[in-house]
Amino acid sequence: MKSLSFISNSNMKKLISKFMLLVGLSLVVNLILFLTLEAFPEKTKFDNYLEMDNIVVHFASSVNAYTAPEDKNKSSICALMDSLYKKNVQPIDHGAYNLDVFEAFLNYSVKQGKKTDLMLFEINMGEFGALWNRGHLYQFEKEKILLKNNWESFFYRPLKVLHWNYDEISKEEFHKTPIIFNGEEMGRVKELMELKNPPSTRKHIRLRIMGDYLYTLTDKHPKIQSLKRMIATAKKSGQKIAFYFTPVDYQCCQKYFTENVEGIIRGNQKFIAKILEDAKIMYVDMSLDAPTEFFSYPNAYPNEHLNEAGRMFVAKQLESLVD
Amino acid sequence: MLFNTIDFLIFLPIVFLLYWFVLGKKITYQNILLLVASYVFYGWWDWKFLFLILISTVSDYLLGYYIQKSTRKKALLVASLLINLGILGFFKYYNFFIESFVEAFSLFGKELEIGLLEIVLPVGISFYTFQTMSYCIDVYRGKMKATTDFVSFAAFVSFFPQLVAGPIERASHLLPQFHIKRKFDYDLGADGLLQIASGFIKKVIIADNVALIVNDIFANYSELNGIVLFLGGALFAFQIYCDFSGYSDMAIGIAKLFGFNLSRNFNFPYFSRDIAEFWRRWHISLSTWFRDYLYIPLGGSRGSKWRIARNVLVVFLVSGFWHGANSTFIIWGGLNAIYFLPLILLDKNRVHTNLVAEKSLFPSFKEVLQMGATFVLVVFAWVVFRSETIADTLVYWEIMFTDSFSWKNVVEAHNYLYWEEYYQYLVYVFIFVIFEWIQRRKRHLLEIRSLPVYARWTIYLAVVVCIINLGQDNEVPFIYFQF
Repeated sequence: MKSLSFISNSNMKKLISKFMLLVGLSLVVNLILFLTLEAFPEKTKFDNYLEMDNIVVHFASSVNAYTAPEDKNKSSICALMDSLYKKNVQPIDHGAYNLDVFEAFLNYSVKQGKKTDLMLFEINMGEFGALWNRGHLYQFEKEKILLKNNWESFFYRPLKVLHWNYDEISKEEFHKTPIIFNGEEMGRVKELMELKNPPSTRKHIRLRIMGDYLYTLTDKHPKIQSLKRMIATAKKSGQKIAFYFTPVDYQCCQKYFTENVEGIIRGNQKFIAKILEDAKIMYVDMSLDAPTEFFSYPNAYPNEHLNEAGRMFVAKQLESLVD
Repeated sequence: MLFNTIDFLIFLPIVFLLYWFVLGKKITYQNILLLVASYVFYGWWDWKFLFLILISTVSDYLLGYYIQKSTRKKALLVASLLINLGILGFFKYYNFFIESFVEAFSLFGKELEIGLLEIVLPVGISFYTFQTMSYCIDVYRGKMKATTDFVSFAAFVSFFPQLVAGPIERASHLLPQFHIKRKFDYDLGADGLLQIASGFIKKVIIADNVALIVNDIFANYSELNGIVLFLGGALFAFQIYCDFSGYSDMAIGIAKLFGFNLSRNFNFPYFSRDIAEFWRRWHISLSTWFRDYLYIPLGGSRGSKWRIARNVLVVFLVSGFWHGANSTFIIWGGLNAIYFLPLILLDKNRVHTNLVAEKSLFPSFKEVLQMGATFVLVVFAWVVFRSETIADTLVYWEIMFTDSFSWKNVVEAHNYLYWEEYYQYLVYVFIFVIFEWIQRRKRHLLEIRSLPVYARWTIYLAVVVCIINLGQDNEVPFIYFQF
């Protein structure tokens, strides 16, 4: 009450004191909830993995668990690896997870002072494209902040109710993102997002492929920056890490272009691979190794989702890293 | 600036402290502060919009003054209406009229080439133009005297708690409050805080969560079945109610912190036993505006049945059009007129003026049926309101009533709807309805000051914790901001 001595009106003082008491109590209850309740399922899983011995944690996007309708074996890539190899391979996967989020997981484990035998990260050539990199729903700010596991994490929800902006990309900003091909703006993301169904016309599929794979990578790309920071963190902490490039259906993509699609993807893949090679980080490149028959995207544009044969192909290729 | 933002969380205490402690001794200073604060609040969106408010304010202040003095009252009133409706018409309806015009000519084989303009609809324009119009009309009718205090008038037009989404205040109710000395009242202030929290419950816990399901259902309606589409309509009913009445609760609560009493805008509308009662409980400030400034001047309920029917139809169509430049809103208004007409023509529109289950905890079977039937009619109309086009509405309705209603369909809808996540939001709605029912005699959800102190504080704490933890991460804009 002393701190409110500038308030002469006793009624006002009473109201403000009670209000502040309520705010204080709410923060205490929230702190208890924050410390006891699950932040998000993947973090809980990761916490469990960090307590296990001899474990390989496999970080991936939806490619890991996607199954084609006709698949007999619906096992994920991770589950296939787990059955193929002696190592215990466990997934941290979620639709559209990318290097940005993987970096947050790696930092979290380092901060906890815990290690796993290996952290295996998927590099999806789609994640660098305008549609994924700038996707307003693919920024995972919540996950990244909660994985910091500090006061910022505690205030995440209270601030979110008040629309605190964690430098997030808004839907409008995402829609304004240009799709660049050969240095020329070919359209805006909005054009694709406003379609009621997945792109089906040649024009829209071309735009989608340009937005997904036909970019030109530079050091300034946020995901490249994440990759470099991950390497530095892993080196400093002694955490063993490895990467793999998941396949792209370049053969199907090529049908829509006269330009050399394979060449453009190869150029970008080499750019990333050089960073890994310079840092002496193990990786497996499958970006251009899988034929169209390994992919599955019924009623949709070409993407990285694999069928049973494709998932098995990837799981087998990863032997050198896992076993 | 939105109420549920950090910006406002900083803005409100600053204005509050300056209002009561620095400038509390002189009413003129308080009014100047409210005016400046309101302009900052509004200019936060886009300072250029302030010019429109200024035009509306200055013109109606002068016109109101001269309406009282001059002998050419009618001409001055017409000038006021033209200015306000002109601003509203240009910013809100220009493109709609041009498109409709071009479309109409194309039916006769004439292709007109009139360019559309890239017009940004200024936030709250439909609300404050109606507010200033009512002032001039009331002065013209001799219901109130024109004010000579420009600051009070300007503060009344732009009063930030209700500036962008109402309640639409009458000058005769709000303006005099700027002229009397405000004294901080503990009960009013505490009730204001609780009503703000009540608004947050509605907006954050119900409207924003339910919006996820509604958006998915309306985006994929052609792939879904009858029962799911009915659920989509019903949930939209809760979304729009909680979104809009939540904002009104926040506005009324904030005004109370400054010693002002704003009009009630919602009165538990889904507990209505017929459409007439629903319209007495839904968006009350707009309904009564249309009643007083359109329906009654048209002749109201006097005259032949045909004349009454015409008046009702006009009011509902205009009310629909007020919501936006889209034929769906007009059809929505027309549909409500169709619901309302039999009641007024049979003189049964004031059958339910008391509270439902006034003296008991539970409603009678008859009341349940009446409320259920009214709700179904309302949901049916909300489908048009929510749809993008009339064609979408027709298909939605068709599936709603022709496709099967089995529970299996809900399961099949799994491809489009994430029930694992959504079921909890249905639970929130269910609990919310129970609380609304218990509180239906009160002015808002958290009017619980008669409870013992431990019970109240437990509820307060639970409410704050739920608001913090049960909302969506992504911002869901207030629906009525687009109007």
